[in-house]
Amino acid sequence: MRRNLTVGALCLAAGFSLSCTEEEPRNSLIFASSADATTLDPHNTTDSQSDQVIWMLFNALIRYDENMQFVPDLAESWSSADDNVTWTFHLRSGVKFQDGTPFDAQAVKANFDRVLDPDQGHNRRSLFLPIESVDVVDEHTVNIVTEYPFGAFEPMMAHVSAVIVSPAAAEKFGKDFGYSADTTVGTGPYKVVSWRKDLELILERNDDYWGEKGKLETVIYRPIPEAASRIIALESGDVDVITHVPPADLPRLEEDPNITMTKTLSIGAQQFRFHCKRKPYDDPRIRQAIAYAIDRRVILENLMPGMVEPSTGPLTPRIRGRADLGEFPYDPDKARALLAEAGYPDGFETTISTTSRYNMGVELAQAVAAQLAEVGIDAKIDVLEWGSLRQYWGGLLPEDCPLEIFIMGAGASSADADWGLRPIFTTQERNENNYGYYSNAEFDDLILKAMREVDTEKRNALYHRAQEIVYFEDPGAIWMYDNYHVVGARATVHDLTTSPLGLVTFERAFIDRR
Amino acid sequence: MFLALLGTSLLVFLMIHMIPGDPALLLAGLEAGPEVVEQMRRDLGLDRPLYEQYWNFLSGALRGDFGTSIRMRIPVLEEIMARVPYTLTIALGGTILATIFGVVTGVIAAMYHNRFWDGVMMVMALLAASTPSYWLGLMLMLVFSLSLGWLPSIGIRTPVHYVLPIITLAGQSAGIISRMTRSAMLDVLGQDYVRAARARGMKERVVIVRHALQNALIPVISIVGLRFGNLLAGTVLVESVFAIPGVGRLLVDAVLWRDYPMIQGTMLFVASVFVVVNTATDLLYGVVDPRIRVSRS
Amino acid sequence: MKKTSEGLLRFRRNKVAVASAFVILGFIIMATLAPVIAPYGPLEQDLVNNYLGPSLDHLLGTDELGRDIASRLCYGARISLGIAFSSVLVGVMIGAVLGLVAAYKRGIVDSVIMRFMDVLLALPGILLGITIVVVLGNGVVNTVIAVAIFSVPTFARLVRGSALQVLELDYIVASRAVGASASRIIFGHVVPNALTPLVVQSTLQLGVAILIASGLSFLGLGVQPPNPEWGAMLSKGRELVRSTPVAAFAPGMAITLVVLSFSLLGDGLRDALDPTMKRR
Repeated sequence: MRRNLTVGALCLAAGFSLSCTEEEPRNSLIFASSADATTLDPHNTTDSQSDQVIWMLFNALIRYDENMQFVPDLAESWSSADDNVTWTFHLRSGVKFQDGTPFDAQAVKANFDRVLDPDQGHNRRSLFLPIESVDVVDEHTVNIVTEYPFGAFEPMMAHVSAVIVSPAAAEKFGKDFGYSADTTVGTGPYKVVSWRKDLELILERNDDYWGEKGKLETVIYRPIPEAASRIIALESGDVDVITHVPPADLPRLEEDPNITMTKTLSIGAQQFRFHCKRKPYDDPRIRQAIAYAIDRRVILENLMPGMVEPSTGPLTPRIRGRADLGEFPYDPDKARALLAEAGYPDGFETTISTTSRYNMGVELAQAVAAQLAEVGIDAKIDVLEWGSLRQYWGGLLPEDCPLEIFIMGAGASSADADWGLRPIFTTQERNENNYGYYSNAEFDDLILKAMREVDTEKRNALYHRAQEIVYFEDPGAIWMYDNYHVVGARATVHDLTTSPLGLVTFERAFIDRR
Repeated sequence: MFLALLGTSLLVFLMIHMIPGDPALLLAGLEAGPEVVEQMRRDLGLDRPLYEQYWNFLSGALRGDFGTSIRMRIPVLEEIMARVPYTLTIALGGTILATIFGVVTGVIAAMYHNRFWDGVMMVMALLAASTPSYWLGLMLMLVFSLSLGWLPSIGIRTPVHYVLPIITLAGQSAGIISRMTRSAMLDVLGQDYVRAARARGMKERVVIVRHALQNALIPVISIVGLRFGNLLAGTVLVESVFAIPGVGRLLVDAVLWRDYPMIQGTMLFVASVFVVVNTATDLLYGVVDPRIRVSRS
Repeated sequence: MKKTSEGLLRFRRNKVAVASAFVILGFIIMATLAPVIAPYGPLEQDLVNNYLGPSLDHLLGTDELGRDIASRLCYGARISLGIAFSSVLVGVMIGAVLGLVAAYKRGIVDSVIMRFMDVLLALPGILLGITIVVVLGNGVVNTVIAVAIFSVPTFARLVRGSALQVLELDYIVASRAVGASASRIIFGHVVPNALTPLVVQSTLQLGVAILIASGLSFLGLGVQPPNPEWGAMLSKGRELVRSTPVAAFAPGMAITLVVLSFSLLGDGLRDALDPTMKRR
């Protein structure tokens, strides 16, 4: 406000010269997130800071719209053959990458070959393993063949890692692709012009964009790690949009007329997992007892009001194939009974490992511990810095993993039940992705069947049963809440795109600085 | 000096490899397969024996090659150099401001030794140094950016953006410099030649500035030099609060991401600056006070 | 004896230092009597009544889990002061031993010890703390270790310096030559000489220890919750600074007040005990 006054005063001083109206400084927007993007190589990205920039720079063949329906992007149309393994994509013609390379069937093939090449070791390789081959039919037609009828094929193709990078640039820069401004080349509405790590990542409108062009000339991503600084920067107008709003600030910001808050129910859910190979958690009754002992409502409504919804199943409502199983009932008497039945009438001692990397992760653990104390379970809190927690997730044998109960955020990044359940709950000898060694034969069987089922109804029925098992019968986790993705913006900012995947993009956004 | 750096590099290297956690796991994200993680470990050379890794680091460092950041995939030295200007700006600015403020308060405190203004000056000078810097920075931001709207909150776009970080950082050292100035001044003011000057009827202001201060500055210089290293370390917290992409933040992030080459590079950089500044201070000390040149070696 | 009573007299005339001493005493009493003073338990959650502002029920309001901030502050004094005192104690002991050995043995031992101290000094406090805590893990004991290691070189240098002064005195050199035992020389002459600067430096270091601990908490590397250590309270509270400011201001002011008092007290002690001492 104050600054606008100053500008106004300067304009008066300048004698109403024209330059002042055009002084309307820059048609640009500053977006502050909690961290910088790690990489703009879609085949390597694993965090939402990177994902949301990638969506500004690249296009996929198909993508999700706001209602989680598939819509054409670089493919004009697509269909699957009767064998359910061959998918044909008819590609948009006349599209060029930002380096001038034409977009064609060959580019699509080159992309999937790149991410699937085991020697290159891209982080997202496992996501695309169902793909057997990519065949160029003609310049603008491509067939993608899966190894088996794959029920989650379209979600896989709408994943951020399925966006198409310039094959010429990928060839030229190899593993360095996407790690600096010069090495990032896509087809999207914006392009990177500069990237100073931890300072700013500047995108400029791609004026040759094949689709509807962006309204903003520049979008600046400026990481502000401190939550309090981020809020102050938004309130004082130094930045236009922020994410990762602390729950305590939400009510105040919602009342602020200068600020618009947007909440989108995301695909992310917060859970506490068990080390299912460790006593006493090898007994499903113990896990059930703990699930019954927690009053999610009282925790969530007070700790993070308006930020989350209590979980109603292992997957959030935005995920294809999810089953609505209702909130897990709070029943401390039943919890005590189950504990007694399992041979622990007086409870036991345990440790809850958590990390502040997750929003309110430490406070959640403390609140849960206080409620477990009510049924006789004495839970100690162990706050681990992210890297120290992460070392226990991945490739360890059960005896090498010291965790007991531990926090975990899960979001099926393809918004589909397959990716939301299969990697993290099907049996693994080492905890490569199933960090809690959950193992249930019937569940495994259902998941593998569902993966090869293309009929939506049959598929959903299989997933429904699988979710009942992992939620109630043989709990694989304590599901706490489904996350809202909360974005705070100056009231001058319009038409942000917030996706349930927890991403904010600006391809249609504009600023009205009146 | 070289030995100290060599020792530092070895200590840092050993500490780094005692840190639990694995950069490959951190970078692979939660959804990657095990073969990806394995591959990454091999690419990073993390499967080699420790002495070999240290030797590779050391021989590279001697040639001026500090390796490539695991997380950012850019040369470590390049990234450090790109960030040095921001960190040095606030560290130097902080040092200068702290020195001015510290010397002024220290002189005043000494002049009013054990009287009201002595206490006021010392409390004032020590107040900021007694407040955790991230908290001080946040309070300054609340007052000057949000309430008054005088200064921008975060970032480094214009010189004005540096004002709050510099004040925050200066606060950490001002107290110690002030304390040093005060006691050095008291020392000097008790000396015969100062008393003599006063007895000759020189104006108090002249006595203070011409005789006392000039001599009292010698120990102050050394403390300023010593504090510079701490100030540099203090940037770690200040840079986080004000979202300044400096070396301090780079280091913390490197530790949290287990970015081994980056930790080594930044730690060694900070240590080098520290050593260089200390050596420079020693030399300067010798210039200002010739007696020291002989006895100090 | 006479010297000490003179010092006491001088100290009493220094109003700022006396006031600081009382503030610290106040906090120590608060820490000791926490169970009596504090109206609530430090870990007592009351989720329904969280984020409250100050009121008669909760003098300083409640935090995100509905815990009484005033009570946490009282109990937190135990942890924060405990960390400060124990880390300085550990630092003094290790530093003193190293400094004494270096000064007594001279030669190669001296060089090795002091070069190692240089290395530690070259890695400024908070950086060393970060690495140590990441290596050892979060927790009260590990915070103490991190802060202690940080203060070792300061004390080692201090003790070595004042020990050298004594050891070079003619009559000590003579008594060493005629075979006086090391322990007699050390405890009879060296230690008493080093005591005053050690006390002064320790007092100053107490404040620094609290600051470093709170810096570690800020980076998420401090003590484990639900421990109400002040730095941990402040670093959580800072996120609430716009919504429940008291959650940040209460521990923030407590830290500032105590650290300031330690500094002023240390200065006062130095002025009083050794007015001619070469001040460092």
